[in-house]
Formats: sequence, C-alpha cells, structure tokens
Amino acid sequence: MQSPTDHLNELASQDYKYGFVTDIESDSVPPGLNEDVIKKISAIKEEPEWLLEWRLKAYEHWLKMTEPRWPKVDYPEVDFQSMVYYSSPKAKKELQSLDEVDPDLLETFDKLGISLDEQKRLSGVAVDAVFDSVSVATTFKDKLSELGIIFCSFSEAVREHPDLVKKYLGSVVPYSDNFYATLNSAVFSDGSFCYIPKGVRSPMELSTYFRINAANTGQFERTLIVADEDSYVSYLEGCTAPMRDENQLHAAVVELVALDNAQIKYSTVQNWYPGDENGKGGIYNFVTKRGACRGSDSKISWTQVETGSAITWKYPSCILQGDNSVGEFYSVALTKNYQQADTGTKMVHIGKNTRSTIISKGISAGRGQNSYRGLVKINKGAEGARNFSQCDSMLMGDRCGAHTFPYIEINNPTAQVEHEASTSKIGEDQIFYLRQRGISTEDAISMIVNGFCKEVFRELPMEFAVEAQKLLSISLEGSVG
Amino acid sequence: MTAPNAADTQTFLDAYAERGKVDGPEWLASYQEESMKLFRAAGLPLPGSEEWKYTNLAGLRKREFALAGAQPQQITSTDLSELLICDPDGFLAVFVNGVFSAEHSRLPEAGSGIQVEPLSAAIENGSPGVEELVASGKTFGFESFADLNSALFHSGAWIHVTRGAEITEPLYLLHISDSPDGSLMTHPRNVVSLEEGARLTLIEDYLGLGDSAYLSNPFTHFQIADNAGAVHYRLVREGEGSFHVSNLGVRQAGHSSFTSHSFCFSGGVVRNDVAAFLEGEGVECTLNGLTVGRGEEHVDNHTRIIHSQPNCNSWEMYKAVLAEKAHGVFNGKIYVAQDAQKTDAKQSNQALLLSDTAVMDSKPELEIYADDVKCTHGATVGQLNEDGLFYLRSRGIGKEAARVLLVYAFASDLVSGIEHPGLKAGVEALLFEKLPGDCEPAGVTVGAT
Repeated sequence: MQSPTDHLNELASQDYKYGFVTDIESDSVPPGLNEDVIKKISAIKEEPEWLLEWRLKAYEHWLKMTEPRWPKVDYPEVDFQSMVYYSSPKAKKELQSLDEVDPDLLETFDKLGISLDEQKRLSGVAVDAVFDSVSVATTFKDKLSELGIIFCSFSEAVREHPDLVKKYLGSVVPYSDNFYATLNSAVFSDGSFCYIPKGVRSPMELSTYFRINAANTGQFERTLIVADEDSYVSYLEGCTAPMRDENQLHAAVVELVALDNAQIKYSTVQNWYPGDENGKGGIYNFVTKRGACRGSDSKISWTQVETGSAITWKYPSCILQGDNSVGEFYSVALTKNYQQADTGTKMVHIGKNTRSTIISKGISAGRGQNSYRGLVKINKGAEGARNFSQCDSMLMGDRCGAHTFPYIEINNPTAQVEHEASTSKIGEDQIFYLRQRGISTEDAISMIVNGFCKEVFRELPMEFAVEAQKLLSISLEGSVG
Repeated sequence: MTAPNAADTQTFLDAYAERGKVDGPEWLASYQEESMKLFRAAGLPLPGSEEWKYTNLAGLRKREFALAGAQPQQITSTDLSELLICDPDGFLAVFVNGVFSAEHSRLPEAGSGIQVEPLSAAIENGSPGVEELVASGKTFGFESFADLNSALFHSGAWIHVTRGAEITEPLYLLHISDSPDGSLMTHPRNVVSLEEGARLTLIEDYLGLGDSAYLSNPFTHFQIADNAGAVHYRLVREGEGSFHVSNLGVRQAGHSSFTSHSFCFSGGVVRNDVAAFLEGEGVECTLNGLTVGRGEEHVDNHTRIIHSQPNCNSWEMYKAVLAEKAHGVFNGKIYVAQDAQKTDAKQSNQALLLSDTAVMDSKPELEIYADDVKCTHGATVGQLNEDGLFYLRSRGIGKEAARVLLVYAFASDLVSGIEHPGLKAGVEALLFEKLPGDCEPAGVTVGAT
C-alpha cells in the first residue's frame, strides 16, 4: 500500500507530458538585441512607421531600466544578448484552407489535442493558433466577422485596423510600464487582437493556443482585447511547450479595455515546461496582464490555472476607473519540483462603488515555492468601494514554501476591504476519511485538491474547466494520470 | 539601491564625534564604534525602500539633533504623578532625556529576585552577562536606527529577573523627552533578561513634553529563558512634533511566554519595529497593538514573528482608529521555518477610518516553509457601521456619543487585555481623550471597575 508521502514524492517527480519538438525550419533574426533587430522585425512584419517609432521608444526606455529583483523567485541572470527575438515558420503564401498548412504543424496541433480540423467542425471554438510567433490559421473568422467582431493576429490587425490598434495599444500597459513589458513593447512578435463592437455578445468563446517552439526564441506575445459598449466576450488562453534544456523567456503583454457596460472574461490555463525534477530548464514566464474597466458598470474577470513554467511571475490586474465597475481574479497556482511562482493581482479602485473579488489558491509540492502578492488600492475618490480577498495555500511535503504578501492601501473611509489568508497542509485525517471509504490515496488527494480549488474552477468556461481539472490531475495523480 | 546620502547621517556623526568615547569598559567603546560604522554605511532608510514604503522620513532628514548631556536633568513640570499614566504600585524608574533620575525612581531592593538599575551603572559595575546581552541587540535583524541606538545610547534600564522569581508588582519605566528648543535626541537602551521560570510585568511609557521636534529612538530587547514569562506594555505618548522610532526584540527559549500590548496615542511620526524569535519548543507569543491617530499623525507598526522550532503558537492583533489626517501603516510578517512543524499562528489587522482624509496601508505577510502548520491572517479596513449607529441612535443615544461608543467597542478588546487595573483605567481615559467627539458616551463608565 502506498503511503501519502510516497505518492507525493511520485507526483512531485513526474515528467512533463507534453515535451516534444517539432522540426520546422525557422526564419529567425540573429541573436541579440539592438535597434537593427527591432527595425528588422518591424520590416518583416511590414509595419507602419508609427509602430516602429513606438517600438524604438520602448527600446530606448528599456536600456535605462534594470531588471526587477523584488519578486520572491530565484533564477540565474538572463542574457538578453544571446536570445533570438524573432522566429517564424518559413514564409509561405497566404493560406486558403487547412490543406495548405504545413503537415508538421498540423501534427503538432494533433499532439496537443487541438486539431484545427476537429475544432473547426465539432467544437464551435474559434482558434487563432500561434505557432512560434506567427498566426498560422484562424478559424470561424467569417462567422465572427458577420457580427462585426474582429478576431485576428496582431500583425493582421496592424494592417487591417490600424486606427483601433493605434488608439488602444499601450493605453493600459504603457511602453514604459515595467522592465519586461517594455522589452515586449520593443520586440513583440505577434499575438492576438480582438474587438467586440457595441452591443454584440460574442456567440462563442475565443481561444488562442500558444506554443513555444524554435530553440532559443523568447516569445513576446502581445494581446489586445477591446470590448465596446454593452458587449461581452469570453477569451481563452492555453499553453504547452516542448521539453527544452536551456531556459526560455516568455514576456507577454495582455491589455484589456472594457467600455460602458462591457464585460470581458479572460481565462488562462498555463502548462509550459516547468523544468525537470532537478530544476533544470523550464520556461520563465514574466507576463504583464492588465485590464482597464474604462466605462461605468463594466466588468473584467481574470481566471487562471497555473501549473507550468519554472518561474511564473505575473499579476493580472484590474484598473477600475468606471463607476460601479467590477474586477475579479480567480487563480490556482501549483508549484512542484523546483518551480517558483510569484503571482497575484492588483485591484486599483478609482471609480465610485467599484467592487473587486480576489480568490487565490496556491498549492506547493516538492521543493516548489508559491507566493501570492497582491495590491488592493482604494483611491480617494472611490466612494463605497468594496473588496474581498481570500488567499489559501496548501502545502504538500516539507521542502516547499507558501508565502503571502498582500498590500492594502486605503485612502477612502467608505471603503470596505477584507483580506483573509490561510495556510495548511493536506489533512492526514481527510485522506484517512476517504481511504476508509474505499477511495485510493491518489483519488483522495485529487479529490481534496479539486475541492480546495473548486471556487476557481467553477469560474472557468466549461471546456476549460475540464482541461484544468485534467491538468491538475496529471500534475497530481502520479501514475494514475 | 541608491547609496546612502551622507548629508542625512551627518548630524548623527557629529553628535557621536562631539560626545567622544564614553566612560566605561573597552568593549563598550568598540561596540559603539562598530555600530556607528554600520549606521554610517547603511544611512537612514531611503524613501522607496520596501520596509519604509509608506513612511517618509523627509521631515527627519531636514533636522539637526544633539544628544542630551549625561547629567541628570530636571523635568519642567515638577509634579511627576501627573505625568504617570497610573499609580505605580510596584517599581518605578524615570529617565529624563535618556538620563536616569534617581530622585523620581523607586527601584527594588537587592535580593528581591529582580535587579533594576540604569544600564550605564550595570555596565560600569560589570553586572554578569551585560556585555553579551547588550551585544545581542545586533541579532534581531533591525535596520539602521537600532545601530544608531547602539552607537549613541548612554543609558536605559538594565533589568534582570533571577531564576524562578515571580515579580508580581509591575515595573514601570517612564522615559520623558523634554526638548523645549526642539533639537534633542535620545537613544534609550533597555536590556531585559529573565532566567528560567521567572515572571515579570514591564510597562514602558514614552512621554513627550511640549510640541517641539525631537527624536526618540529607544531599543528594548528581551532574553527569556525556559519556562519564563513576560508581560510587556508599551505606551507612546510623544509630542506632536516628535519622531519616535522604536525597536523591540524578543528571544524566547522553550515553553516561555511573551505578551506585548502596544498603545500608541500620540506622536508626530511614529515607527515601531517588533521582532520576536521563537527559539524553543512550546513557546507562546502574543503581540497586540492599538493605534489611535488624529491630526497629521503617522503611525507605522512593523512586526515579525519568526517560528524556528516546532509546536509554538503566536497570536497577533493590531488595530488602528484613524481620524482627521492620520496615516496608519501595518506590516506584519509571520515566518515559519522548515523545522517549525505544528506551528499555530494567527495574525489580524483591523483599521477603522473615521474621516475622508485618513489613510491606512496594510501588509500582512506569511512566509511559510513547513507543511504541517496552521497559519492564518486577516486584514480589514472600513468605516463605522451605519446600522450600528442607527441602532444606537434609535435608542436615544446622541450621534457623537454613538460614534464614540462604537469606536470604543472596536478598540475595547485590546484595552480589555490589560491585566493591571490602574493601567487599564489610564489607557481607557487616554482613549476617550483621544477619540473624536470629545465626549464620553452616556452610560459608559470610564475607569476600572
């Protein structure tokens, strides 16, 4: 009979199930970062002059910045000059149908279980698959465009809808925001753009699968979602990455803008390569995600399930500018082996009667270090603001750590702010109780953990909730998975 | 990190140079020199440093300070009993501008199980353990103000309780700062040690006379042996123009207990750092604090509880009532080391904002490396409950009185923790004096019952 400790050891040392490399020729710029590289990226992408200028401004600013060291994560220096800042699958002529897509690529998607073909026909989910920086195929575009919804790759948006991009790019995360966001602004390769026009409710969940492929390529995705008045969109983001020895840097920027009465729901399942059981390799995930509730009665909701990456460092935030706007953050973060996560959110209350909810669940196993770091700020004018935060941590094993660093800044007496946090271990008595009723240790652990995370999972869209639970099971159930 | 600004430290370096070497043993001189070097290298905390994120020392940087003379000083007000918060039925040690005042003090007699004397005298007489205990001040991980204290302290209280002695009467330390011309700085150092099984109740009271500027930089540390227990009360009643920066370090051996009640009623810029190291099994540690701020007062409480051994409990409750333009800060960290299994730690921070201009910044932290633990923290910030006000008013209680009653209710669980009846009455009286509204609610009896 397996003891819980053995089982935990087993699952903590479990291999990454999505490790493989697809062999496709990459069209890369030489390693290193300088103005010429930025100009070259801009030229390859046939960008207008204003965007190049914006990139160069960001680059100039970036040179003056130093890498932040305040997160509670530990990693070797990143050599920004040895990285390749752009790689795309070899340029091909415009694709009309799936038949024209590189069969290797399609196979990769098959391995990931998101066959475009199948997706297209069966699931009703529009997939804008990003394969190493360039969008390869976009589905259900016609259906969406009938409603006036723009959902395309970022480069396409720059070409087709420059006014929208120019208006909103950098309006939530300015190019000077932070070290990695600034780097992203200078070298971002591609990403997704989404615009929901006035009064439109997106009929399907929009989804992008990210995938890092070419070795040594930092990924610098840029996502911009604008929900115009009275619109609604639910956006899914999910990731897997091939097994790789050297660390790969991922510094994405996601900007959300919600106007009057608009609602954006952004869900992420992140399962990038976390490194092997000795902490070698793995993705550095340094992401800036921020949403602005510009309009009154608008709502932005972030839901994330973070199981991958060697280092996760991200704070999906909400700027609650509009009166009565609502910000939500639901997170499950799992760290095992030598994984480190420093994640949380910022809720900045500016408008009157703004509300925010934070639910964060951290699970640490093996030698994982899991930190919640969050800010709740109530500005002077934010009459009647309300916040509730709950950060729970669960520890499995005696070599891991769970930490909480909440910042609460209150400048208005009418605010009501509550924060609570707890740290506990997976209860021996709970496991015993379930075992006693004939449930195996593995199932018992899985059940307890799923129960612990329930509040977050129920916020995920259906398809994603299933995937998230599966992911957590794969990460937790050792041999059963 | 930017380099420390030399101009910031100049006034302290000058004071150190001017004072010259203190009379006393060689170790003291080298200890103070070493501490001054550390202070000089670190400088004053810079704006923007994480530990001083919400507290700006700009007002302090602009000023120049001088040390008080080593000679006993007279208090402007001669009636000492008016200055005491309660009648000290036990022992009393009075320090005026950092210098021990024998005429006002009432120290225990030799052989009573407790030794209390000015630290300067203990150093001069070579009381057993004094060198090691003074030097242990470096081990709490405090920042540069503690080094500044180490470099410049002249005296303070040396308190030693012998094995098994249970001191029932409280020991009251009154530190008075009287700086009519506004340039004084004091660096009192209080060194407390309890041998095995000893018991002590200590009241530390920091009182400022007048509203001029001065710097009060006390550093108190406790060494608590196995099975010993200390109850500690700390009152801050500094003047409006004052800077009060205090450090309190506690080291606890197995099965000992330490309870601290901190009350901050006035001061210009107040910063209290508390660090408790739980270094044996079965240790109990309680840190409570109440801040009542109004005017432009700024009160910053930083606490750290370090659990390094199994089976220890810690409780922490800090509350703040902030009116007018007061600014409250709380930063509490619970650290649980890998070996500290079965830790039970609770932390709570609550703030009540009574005006549009009051500000509260709170940062309750948990840093946990052991898996079999129960650790929780909670923080709330809010205003007076409208329903509560309505309820009281519907029963004929005036608006002001109802407000005061509700604020008192908010603060009362910290006041009710005071075991000494006289002190409890004194704190209650201060609380009502400080509450906005300037009226005592009908039907509430102020004072001990």
